[in-house]
Amino acid sequence: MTATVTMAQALNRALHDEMRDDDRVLVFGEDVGRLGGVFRITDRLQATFGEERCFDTPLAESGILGTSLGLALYGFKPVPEMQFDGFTYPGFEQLVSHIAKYRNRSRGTVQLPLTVRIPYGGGIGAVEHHSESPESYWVHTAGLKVVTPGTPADAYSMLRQAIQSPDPVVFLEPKRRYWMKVDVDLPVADPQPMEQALVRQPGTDVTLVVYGPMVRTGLEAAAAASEDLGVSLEVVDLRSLNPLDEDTLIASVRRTGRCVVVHEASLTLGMGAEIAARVQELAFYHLEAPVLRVTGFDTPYPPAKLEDFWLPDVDRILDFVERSLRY
Amino acid sequence: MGQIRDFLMPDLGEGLESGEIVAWNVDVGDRVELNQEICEVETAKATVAVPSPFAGTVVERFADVGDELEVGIPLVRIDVEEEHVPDAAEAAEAGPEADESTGRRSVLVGYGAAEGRTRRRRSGAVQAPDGDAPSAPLAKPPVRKLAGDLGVDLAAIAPGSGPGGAITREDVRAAAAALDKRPRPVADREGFRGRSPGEVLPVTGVRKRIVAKVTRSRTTIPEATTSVTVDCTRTWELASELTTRARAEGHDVRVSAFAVVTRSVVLALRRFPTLNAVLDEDAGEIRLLEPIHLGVAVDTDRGLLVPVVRNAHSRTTLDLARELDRLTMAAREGSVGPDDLTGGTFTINNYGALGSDWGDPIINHPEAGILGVGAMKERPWVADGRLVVRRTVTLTIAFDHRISDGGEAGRFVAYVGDLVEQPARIVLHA
Amino acid sequence: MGDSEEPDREANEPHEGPDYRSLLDPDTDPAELLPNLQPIRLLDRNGQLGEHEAYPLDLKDEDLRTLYRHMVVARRVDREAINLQRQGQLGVYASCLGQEAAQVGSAYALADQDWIFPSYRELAAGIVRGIDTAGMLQLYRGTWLSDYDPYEFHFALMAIPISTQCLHAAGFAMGARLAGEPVVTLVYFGDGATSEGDFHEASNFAAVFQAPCVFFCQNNQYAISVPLSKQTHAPSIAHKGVGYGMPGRRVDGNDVLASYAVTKWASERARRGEGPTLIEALTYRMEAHTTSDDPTRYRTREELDYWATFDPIARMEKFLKGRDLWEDRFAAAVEDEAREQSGHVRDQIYDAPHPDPEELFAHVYVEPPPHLERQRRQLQAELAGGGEPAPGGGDLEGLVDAQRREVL
Repeated sequence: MTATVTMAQALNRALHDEMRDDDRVLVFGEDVGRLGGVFRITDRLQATFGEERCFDTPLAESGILGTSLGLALYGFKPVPEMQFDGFTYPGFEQLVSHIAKYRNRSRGTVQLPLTVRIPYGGGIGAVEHHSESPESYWVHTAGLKVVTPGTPADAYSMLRQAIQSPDPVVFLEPKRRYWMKVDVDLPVADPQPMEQALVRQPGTDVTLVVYGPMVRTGLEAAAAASEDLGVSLEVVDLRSLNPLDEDTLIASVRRTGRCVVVHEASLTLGMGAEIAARVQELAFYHLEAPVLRVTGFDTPYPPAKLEDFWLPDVDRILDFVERSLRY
Repeated sequence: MGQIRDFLMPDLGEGLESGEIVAWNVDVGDRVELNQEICEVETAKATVAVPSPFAGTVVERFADVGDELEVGIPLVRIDVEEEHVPDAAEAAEAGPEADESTGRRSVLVGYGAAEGRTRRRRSGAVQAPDGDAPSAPLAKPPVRKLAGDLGVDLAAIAPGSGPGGAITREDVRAAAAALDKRPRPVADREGFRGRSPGEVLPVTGVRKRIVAKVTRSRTTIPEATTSVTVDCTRTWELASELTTRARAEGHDVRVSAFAVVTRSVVLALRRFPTLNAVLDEDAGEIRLLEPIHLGVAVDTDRGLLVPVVRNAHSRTTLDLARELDRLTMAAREGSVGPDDLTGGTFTINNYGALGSDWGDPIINHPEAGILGVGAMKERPWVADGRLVVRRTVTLTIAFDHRISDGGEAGRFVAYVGDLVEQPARIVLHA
Repeated sequence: MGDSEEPDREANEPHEGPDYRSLLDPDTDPAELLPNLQPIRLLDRNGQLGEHEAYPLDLKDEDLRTLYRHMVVARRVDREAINLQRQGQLGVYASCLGQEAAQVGSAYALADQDWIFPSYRELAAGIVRGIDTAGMLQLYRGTWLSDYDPYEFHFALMAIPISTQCLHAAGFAMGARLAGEPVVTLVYFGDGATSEGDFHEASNFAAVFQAPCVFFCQNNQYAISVPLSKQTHAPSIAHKGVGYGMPGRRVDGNDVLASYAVTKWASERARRGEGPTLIEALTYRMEAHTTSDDPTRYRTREELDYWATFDPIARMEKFLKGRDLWEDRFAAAVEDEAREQSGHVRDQIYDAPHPDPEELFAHVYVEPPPHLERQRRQLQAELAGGGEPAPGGGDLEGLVDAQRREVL
């Protein structure tokens, strides 16, 4: 039945359905139990499934991720929550040195089906350390899958797929989109695999590569480009940052000959750098313009009052689209 | 005398987009104090009391109980008492009006409704660069490729007509057209690959290796040659069909008749292993080799190169075709690496591609044989006692007579010929 | 198992092997490190002053009044901050309601040269140090990430990631010890923070290096929604000090005088070179974790009402009245200051303009590298907007630059 759901509700529903279908799924982290998480993503899970399957942990991110590994090794499917992007860093070692590498070290004998949920990105007027875009760290770490939904429907389907994945998944939730609403049927019938990119909107002139929080912004930019500039943008939602769906990306760039990548994370060594590298490797002779990147600046995430000047928005995207077209 | 101020719906919890009014504590006409709780709002996170930022009289409530109000939308209008109105300087900087200069509404601490588009931040500053053109020619990759394909020297036509002097497709096409029309006196015409009579060519690099290699082959290997001419019509047709099928399956590849012949050679080498062998005179042994690494002679600007299709015996026809494509391209582009050029166990020379009907190929030392493939052309052919037009090919094997006898080599080339005539047998044996 | 019990081998057999005791610090008697289970309290709920031999009070009447004044101002500014958040003027705010005594008492016990390392809830401690409260709130408004000079107030930047500031305080104290200067550090953190690795590492470093550092835990019973019982299974937070070889002490954090006296003792100990102390101040967070939080989901009205009876300000007020230190003139002066301070905060925060966006690039490096300079010009062009070329060419230069670099 079609209902209006927010991304937060879709994520909550996905957790609920996975916990219902597989009693090995455990949800834990800071404030996820009684409170239901600071963003209410785990709302009512403890009431429904009990304190053994949805529980609060001590305030320790390294502890949460390290014990997730242990639980997964035992046979559970942990779905730990990192409360905010900026608080994942104490858990960095467990994620990068252990969770990501365990399978490889064991020559594939050990699988770690765990999903680390991380609300990420800015645009909510939060205090510092609450608006970080750390995806490059995880994407750079071999052994982790990194995915990020841009719509409530994807949030639902991709989280379920992530939990079912035999590999560890970093599931990045664009927190500024938690409250975006759409009418959607849940569960989504025949969902696209989470590793595949999607052409959100076909177009002919420039390929606009977006993911997570920038999906909505990218679609708004496409509407504006069409209306104001008479330019047709093809909006490609990556969905998965690692692995990267090269086929969809390259096919689009070969069609349009131009590529503009958008992300909140800072420019230097952001996802845009990797995408630019792959595009020039695989579609060099199709390129009518250099791959351009529309990103946050190479400064620490700014205070709330300046974040609108820092974050990529429709106008900045259009600037770069025009620049691409000038070549 | 007061001043009318609107209190906009605040973001009550970091990034919320809206809230629902659950209770009003004041009516229109009521006096409110600064920080007096005027209503209760339920958000996705909590229910909170909202205090008035102004003292004054309530002029209008913009929402009723039960209404969902977006962040940034007016909530209540208050006729503010004068003493509480910020002074002029502050007022000038404050409020929604002030932040309009940046295209943002000030009450929106968070994302909220702020993502309304504005036209104010478009820089519009990027102009095509003019004058001061850089000295190297500017052109984008597809234009560079086009120039290469048409033999147009970019430096000669720079600056182009594009932004900043960039050379455009049109510039390249115009230059190519001019090139074609230009009368070229016979005396000025260069020879093949730019060589002219009277020139002295240094024996270095690839040429030097070729000199050493063929000398060694012809002085150390007592070779013999035998050949067959067969009807290759079916192989020709099969190749074209395989190409169509492969492309339908999404493979960007051309399966050439030569690739099918190569496939036949792999089968024949399996059947006649002395042609895929090495003679070790010191040890007094002939070693029949397990893997088949097929050298393919390619004519390039630098001279003859023989890139190697590794493990040809474990490749599908599609795979072989792809690898032949890749290696031929790489050899011609000069990007083929040393790994691709060594380690062959048998070589095929497709001199037919250059139009030759028959050749006398030189064995690639220390291999045991080389197969020459002539041009596949329509020729008169006798079938069932009648003269017909068929596409035929002459296959020639040069072999090291120390390793194989004429009987083996003759059967080998005849077997390859059989497979070329009836390529369906490849399926039978592969 | 048979009927007869195993004989106690330790008792019956002669001890063999190395002398393990010689491996321990002979000066450390574990018993002295153990905390008192009953929190140290000087003022009872009715404002009656008791005495404690180990923690004498050395405060004059004016000090007692000042402690009260700071607490009242802190509470009023705290309330105004919550109002401002509800009016869309602060993104979020973490209230210190109920914790004024723990902060004011401990901060007041330090010498001027001593440094405070706050988390993000230490408005009252900042008031003791004389920091402009409006400046402290700019972090929450998002004007900038800090608005005071740490060297002027000996007050480090507020730390939002949990427990991280503990290591900074330990390191600063190590520096003071290396320099041979009588400087002590005091670090504020909460009960939840003791679960983080950084707390452990800071405690260990401070103890190993005998750094003059006071670890002041405001145990306000909750880490957002998670109660202390789910945070630790230790007998108390103060007991954790024993494991590092530093004394642990429990104090009534709603008693400003006890908070003062115990911190004074610990800081003087540290100044004498006797190493760090872990103080657990028992208090209660009367407000939500932050304005984004909904505490009704995890605690009851009754619990709140119960703790309200231990209100630190009411207690101090009774004490001052009992001591005849309460005069109308004093009460009016405190009220004036509280009103003035909260008005000042409102004036400074309400619709405060955001800073110049170009400041984004100003402080990242001493010398802005070329790529940042290019990005600054990009923003400048965006700000100029309206199709007007930006001063200095903006993107135009970028394009030519890019093309030049492309062909080189």
